[in-house]
Amino acid sequence: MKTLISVCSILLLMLLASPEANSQTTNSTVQTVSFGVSRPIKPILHAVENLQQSQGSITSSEINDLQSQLKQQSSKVTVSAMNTPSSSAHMDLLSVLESKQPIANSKNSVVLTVTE
Amino acid sequence: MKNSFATIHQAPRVKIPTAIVLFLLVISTFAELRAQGYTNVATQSVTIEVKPISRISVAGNPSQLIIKDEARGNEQSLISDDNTKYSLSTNVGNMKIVASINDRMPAGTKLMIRLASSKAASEGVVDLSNAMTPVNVVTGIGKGIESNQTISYTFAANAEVQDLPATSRTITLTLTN
Repeated sequence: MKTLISVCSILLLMLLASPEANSQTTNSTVQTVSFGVSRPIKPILHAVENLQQSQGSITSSEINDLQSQLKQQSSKVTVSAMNTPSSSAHMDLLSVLESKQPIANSKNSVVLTVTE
Repeated sequence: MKNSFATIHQAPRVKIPTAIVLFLLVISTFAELRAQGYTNVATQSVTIEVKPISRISVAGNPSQLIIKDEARGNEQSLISDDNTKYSLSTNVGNMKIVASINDRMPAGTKLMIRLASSKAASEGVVDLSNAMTPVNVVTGIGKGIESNQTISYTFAANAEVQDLPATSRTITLTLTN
């Protein structure tokens, strides 16, 4: 049995080493392509703007609703804000959202954080 | 009285120099050896064959294709990379390059490829998004070499695709007949 296996092994090696093994009409190569989508959250700022324009203030529950909307579009986004910003703080709120930087407005007691 | 024996004429004895004898002996030996050489012929049979060989290679991988711009209406967002090259050599005529992807692209996205060719016919921009089975990208490749031909990838995402974590696909380029 061992002799048979040895003979078969030698024949297989000879076959692999034969010139035919080096002959080929087909040859392949591969590339890896990485991709993704990471859009800015600017498009969803209209929801914030509309909310403030219509009510002039944002409550905690509304912030939670807003965050739910944001998370539907990007799982990486978190928003936190408290109290009621005045109309003067409205632009600050938008700029914060656009710049994605936290802001603290002690006068109006607005603390908003957007992270992505 | 003269001695009668003295009158006997003897043939003059010719002395052949030893050097000449040796020279003639050597010449005759060489002649014999040479004659033997002409009658001794050896033959060999040499078999030659050129096997069909085809090679294709690429240089590196494309940069990450990340769409970061804001969606505009229903327009697709596109991003491209054309920084990688391919080279090939073949001694077989009428070859082609086919491409395939290892997995389908995510919903709302597309991955397209274009291979330039200076000697053959490029199929232009080819959608690989669902090309699990190979599709033609270059055809009519003749015998010879093509070096440093441009590979272009384009990734497209529909407007509704807001966030897609970076992922990857393996593209296989095959030179075949």
